[in-house]
Amino acid sequence: MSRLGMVSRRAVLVGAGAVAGGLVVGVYFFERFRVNARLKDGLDKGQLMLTPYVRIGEDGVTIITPRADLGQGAYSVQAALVAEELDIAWSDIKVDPGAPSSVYYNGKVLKEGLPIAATSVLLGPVAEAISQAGGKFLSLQWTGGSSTVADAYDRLRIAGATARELLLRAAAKQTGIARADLKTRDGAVIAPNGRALSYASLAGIAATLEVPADVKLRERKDWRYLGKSMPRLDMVAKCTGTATFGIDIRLPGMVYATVCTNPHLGGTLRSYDASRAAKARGVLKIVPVKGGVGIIADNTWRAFQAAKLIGFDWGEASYPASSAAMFEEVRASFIPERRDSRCKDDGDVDAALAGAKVIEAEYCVPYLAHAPLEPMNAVVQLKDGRLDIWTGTQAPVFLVKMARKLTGLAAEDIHLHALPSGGSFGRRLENDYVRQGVELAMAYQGRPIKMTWTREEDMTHDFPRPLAVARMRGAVKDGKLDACDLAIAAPSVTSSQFGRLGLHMPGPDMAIVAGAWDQPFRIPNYRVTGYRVPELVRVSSWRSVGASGNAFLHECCLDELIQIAGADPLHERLRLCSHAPSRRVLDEVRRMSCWDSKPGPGRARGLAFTLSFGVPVAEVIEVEKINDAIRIARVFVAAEVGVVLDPDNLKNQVEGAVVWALGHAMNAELTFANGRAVQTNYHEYEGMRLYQAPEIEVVALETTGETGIRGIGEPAVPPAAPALANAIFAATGIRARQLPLIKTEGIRFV
Amino acid sequence: MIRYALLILLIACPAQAVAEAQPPARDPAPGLALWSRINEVFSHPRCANCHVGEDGVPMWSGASNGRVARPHGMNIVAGDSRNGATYLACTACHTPRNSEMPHGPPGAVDWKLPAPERQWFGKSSAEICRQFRDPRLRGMASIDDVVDHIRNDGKVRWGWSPGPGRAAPPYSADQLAAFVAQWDKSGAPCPEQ
Repeated sequence: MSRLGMVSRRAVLVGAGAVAGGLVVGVYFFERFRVNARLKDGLDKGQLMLTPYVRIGEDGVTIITPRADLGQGAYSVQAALVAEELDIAWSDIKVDPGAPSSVYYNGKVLKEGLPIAATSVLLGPVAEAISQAGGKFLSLQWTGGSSTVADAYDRLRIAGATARELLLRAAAKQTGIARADLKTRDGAVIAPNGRALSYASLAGIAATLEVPADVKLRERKDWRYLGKSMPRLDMVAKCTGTATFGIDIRLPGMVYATVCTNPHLGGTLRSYDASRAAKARGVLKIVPVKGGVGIIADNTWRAFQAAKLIGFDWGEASYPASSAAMFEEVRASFIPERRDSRCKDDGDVDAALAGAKVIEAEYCVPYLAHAPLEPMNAVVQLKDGRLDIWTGTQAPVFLVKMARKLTGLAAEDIHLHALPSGGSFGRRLENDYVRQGVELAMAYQGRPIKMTWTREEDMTHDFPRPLAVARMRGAVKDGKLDACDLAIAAPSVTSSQFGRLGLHMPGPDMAIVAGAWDQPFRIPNYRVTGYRVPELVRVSSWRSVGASGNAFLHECCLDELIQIAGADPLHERLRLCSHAPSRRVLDEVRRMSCWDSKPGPGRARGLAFTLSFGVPVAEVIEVEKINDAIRIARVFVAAEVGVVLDPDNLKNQVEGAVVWALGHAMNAELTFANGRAVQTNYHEYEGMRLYQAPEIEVVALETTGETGIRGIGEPAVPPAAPALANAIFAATGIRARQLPLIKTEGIRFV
Repeated sequence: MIRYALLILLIACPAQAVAEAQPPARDPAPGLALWSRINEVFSHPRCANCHVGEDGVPMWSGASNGRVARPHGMNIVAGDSRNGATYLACTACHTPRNSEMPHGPPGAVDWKLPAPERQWFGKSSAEICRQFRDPRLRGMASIDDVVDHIRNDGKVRWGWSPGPGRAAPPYSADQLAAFVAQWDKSGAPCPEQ
């Protein structure tokens, strides 16, 4: 076995094993050759890996950041976790997403899919264990579920501290000075006489040493980087337009391509006529791909132009042709045969409703597209039995698996170069676009092919956030909320995703009711039931997944009942709230927004609260009425994240989430007509405009400390839409029960 | 000679005064029908979206702009110049030609907003009519000038070739010019409300 192999295996044991106890040892010992071959992929001559997250060569230290950066600052926060313990200067940090490897599995992301509420003290450890084991078993190198920080917090710091300890011991061995007399500073071991030995000079010896099993992590008071706002590592490159996203890759001899596939999603291609396109300027080859054709040309524009010249006879889709028909299918799903889950059933709802005046309402949310600014793309080269892929992806291991299956190549002949993405919001969990790139490369071998989708291809071939309908029945008693029976019907995201990965999803899909069933309110009679609609359009994760739409369904229903009870939306929620961290965010948002004072003439406030991904978030939105139109004036957000690793980045995430969510709440829906998506570009799928952006105030509470550490990439999204809808009700008396809000008569935004 | 001229004036003036005081009774219906057609064009999003008031904010309305009228998506303010010269020139995006992309910026030569006193957006047919009938408010002394403007101004002609995805107003520029001329000849009647 090579030295690299030995070092990596030990490092894997430490890096991964220390987090989850001894559970992983057997698995990784058994798999060490595969794991090591993968990790070797990024190594140049003379480079060594001290742990799976620390690579050292003559040019210094590179930190491996295996969670994808989709604009959320994931590379910076991962680097900070390692650098804090390893002790290297911020300005010297180099990052690399590394190779796809099961060692980089995500041990936290499955938690969200379990029927165990984040508030459950008793079952919390069970959920944790299942998530760790499941993530490992599935080699789930997966970026999503706001899990990067929570998953990396211990693991990356241990990896950094382990590497540092190895370097210290290497310095002790080289100099003969006692380990206890050595210190580290900014990428070097410092001897008592002040002599500095660079990490690079010690790496060779360090790699021969036994890896320590129990390193001590720095105390919080000693942190240099964590807990402070550090300039993001990609800031200069992004601000100067020099950052290299997947779409920016240029390689010698590169050719360019685009793809047209059936807009009736999943439908076949009956026939096509490419005779005109084949003669178009710059076209090199037209090749069939699954469900369509690819056009390879000498530049992207010419590929786009030639694609327009192809006549297609598309096969039909299997789902209902229109949005109206799809909603009919959803409304027809509130039947026993389609019941999926009932994990919340407190009190006796039926009895409470039987003796009361029942309030009923139906709410619905539409399909939503991911619509990232960077449309799907991949650069792929198949040459002499070696496949190289350059792209942004949230699921690298699955991507390699797909490429292996398609090409028949061995895993070691497939090289994925992961790159930052210009947005994703969950879209890059899918690998359909990379599959097309590989298909093109197989048909046009030798040269690198940059495959880029048009914006129209991107919008009309998305895996949207599913549509959903909620039926609410409720009752109030003595000015208090007494009963709430919420039934939600939606297609299953998890089942759709698992199916594409060749996996079967056991049990109910908690995404259908996420953000609704697991809310920390003790309503005396309280029931949430999920109904699974058979798959219509294939669907996928969309930033904050199930909670993204369910928060609107749940929080508007709650608001409606509280309003009928004549109670105050915030105080009634506080009264019902049984979870201390959630109470604290409600209290905080009350303080921030001056909830108990009048908001001023022409103004009104609305509140929503959602606990998603383990993070309680309360949002108050203050709106202003201007000539019968609504202006969103101010947004107040309080969240409980345990430990804030970078205050500025957290604020940016929340602000971005609020603007993104409100834009969708106001304007956006993906509709279908004649079996295809109607919206093709941003003119029909419009976000919030710059002039509409409100003032946003953010407070992150840290009262739960390290035991409650969570990510904030998604949890600020769900409460935004219901807070706005509730504010509009407070301002106008108009109760919007569907999204986007402009579909409700009388609602207009300025 | 002078006496003769005075005599003619003395005879003619009272007659004219009588004519003004008692206009010949004329059926307003044909004129109002013409105005109705004219208003169909004037209130159409292709025209009204730019005929806005003193705030100088063009509007987005009509089928190609979603369900409800709202200010220009970039919240552009055209300013006193009505062409954005002191803020951001309209021509920064609106070139002399329409973009071929769906919802790309439309364009014509000298893209700018009409003067604020010619605001049509948000006004009723009667309001637009009374405003249009007043030479000071419409900014053109004679109907011949108006007819010429409709027939030959590139910005008006653009309304009937507005680029992909946008509906044109009914009739044609030449038909509209003819309606305006006939409406004026019919006494330029305006609806009451």
